Amino acid sequence: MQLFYSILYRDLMLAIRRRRELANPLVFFVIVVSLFPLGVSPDQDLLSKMAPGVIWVTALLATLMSMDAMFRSDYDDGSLEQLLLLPGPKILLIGAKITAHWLSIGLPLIVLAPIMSLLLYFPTHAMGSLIITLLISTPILSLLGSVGIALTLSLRSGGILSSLLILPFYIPVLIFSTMAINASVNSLPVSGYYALLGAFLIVSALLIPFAVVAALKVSYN
Amino acid sequence: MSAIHQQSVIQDNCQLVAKTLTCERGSRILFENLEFSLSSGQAMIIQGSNGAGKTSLLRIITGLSQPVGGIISWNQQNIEKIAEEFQKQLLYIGHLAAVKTELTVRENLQLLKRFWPSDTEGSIADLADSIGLHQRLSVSCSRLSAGQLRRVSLARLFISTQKLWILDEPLMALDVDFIGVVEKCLQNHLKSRGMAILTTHRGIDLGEQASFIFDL
Repeated sequence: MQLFYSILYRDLMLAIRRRRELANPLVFFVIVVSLFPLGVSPDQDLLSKMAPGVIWVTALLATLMSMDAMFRSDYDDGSLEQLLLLPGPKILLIGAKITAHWLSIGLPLIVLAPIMSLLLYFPTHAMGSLIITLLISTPILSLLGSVGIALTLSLRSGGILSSLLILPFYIPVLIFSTMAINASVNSLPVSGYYALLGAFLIVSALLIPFAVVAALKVSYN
Repeated sequence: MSAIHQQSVIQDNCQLVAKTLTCERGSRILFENLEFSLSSGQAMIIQGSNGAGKTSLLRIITGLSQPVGGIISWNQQNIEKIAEEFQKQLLYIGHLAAVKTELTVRENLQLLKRFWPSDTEGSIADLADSIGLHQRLSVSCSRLSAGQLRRVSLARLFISTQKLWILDEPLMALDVDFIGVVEKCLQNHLKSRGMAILTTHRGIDLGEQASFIFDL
């Protein structure tokens, strides 16, 4: 566990030092969401109908943009191979890196989303479901993304390929999250969606670190 | 009692053996049926032209990449089976510095000490002193020269408790003074029954310590 905390500490410290790079996806999120009322129509009904989808699609793309930061710089300067040679379970190393990524991207998104949703006349009584779906699903996005990034690390232009690899896996998360929010907007029961997303989170948290360790091995061969 | 005694004997006499190693890059065979054995107190200096597979060989020995054929064993056990135990005894410094340029020298050294704790008492300042960067502790590593970056990554040698050192071009970009320091450090390591595998294009002076040259 000591290894987990050390890596988490290291990655968060680096994230703070790299905050400009880190702010990019968040700025992207703010800009895209705020352009919708200007570009589509300031009509309240239309915007509030579109709001869950717009916020979720933008949050998803912002996460996708930030994925490369998880391993790229460590791979390029040789730190990743040093971390992989540390004695101790590799799962903890990967788990810590994914957690650090979520804390530096997922968490700020969860804070920003409710604020930005006001621009789109998002119904306030469904705000809870927006936050809950983001809370459950952004870790899933970080987890799924890490496999794609780990697999394409050794490729020179892995960016596009990894996006193509990751995106299909993001779609179920997107569908169930927006369905949950829409259900909540219409005052329908939502617990089924939460349960499904929660199950998705548990399964991916348990299995994906193993897949990432294997993917990194492939990248280093 | 005797079990403990036996273990300390084994600990003192480590052996790294490679058998019938084969490595491929793409479809090209870099080397085939490579064999060597290294025991405590010995250094192996790998020489070969550019692209001969020196770095590939070192990476295979660390376990970072797998050979197409052959095995490497540490104290008669396959390193893939005892990865954890082997990694505890392994210090690898590749040709990439593994220094975070966003952080200062002090922070990088703190991370080194955090990840590779050593028995030797010593502050960050002492460590910086031994790599000759004590006056640049608060300088961001992005402002260091190539040689100074190399010194930061070699700092691990001075706090190492590991038996097996694998160094890829450790003398690259270093000045004459610090080359002497590294050579001295290597000699002390070998004297205290450590072992080392290194690649170098210029000669390295290991004093009277046992070493042999391995041509790829």
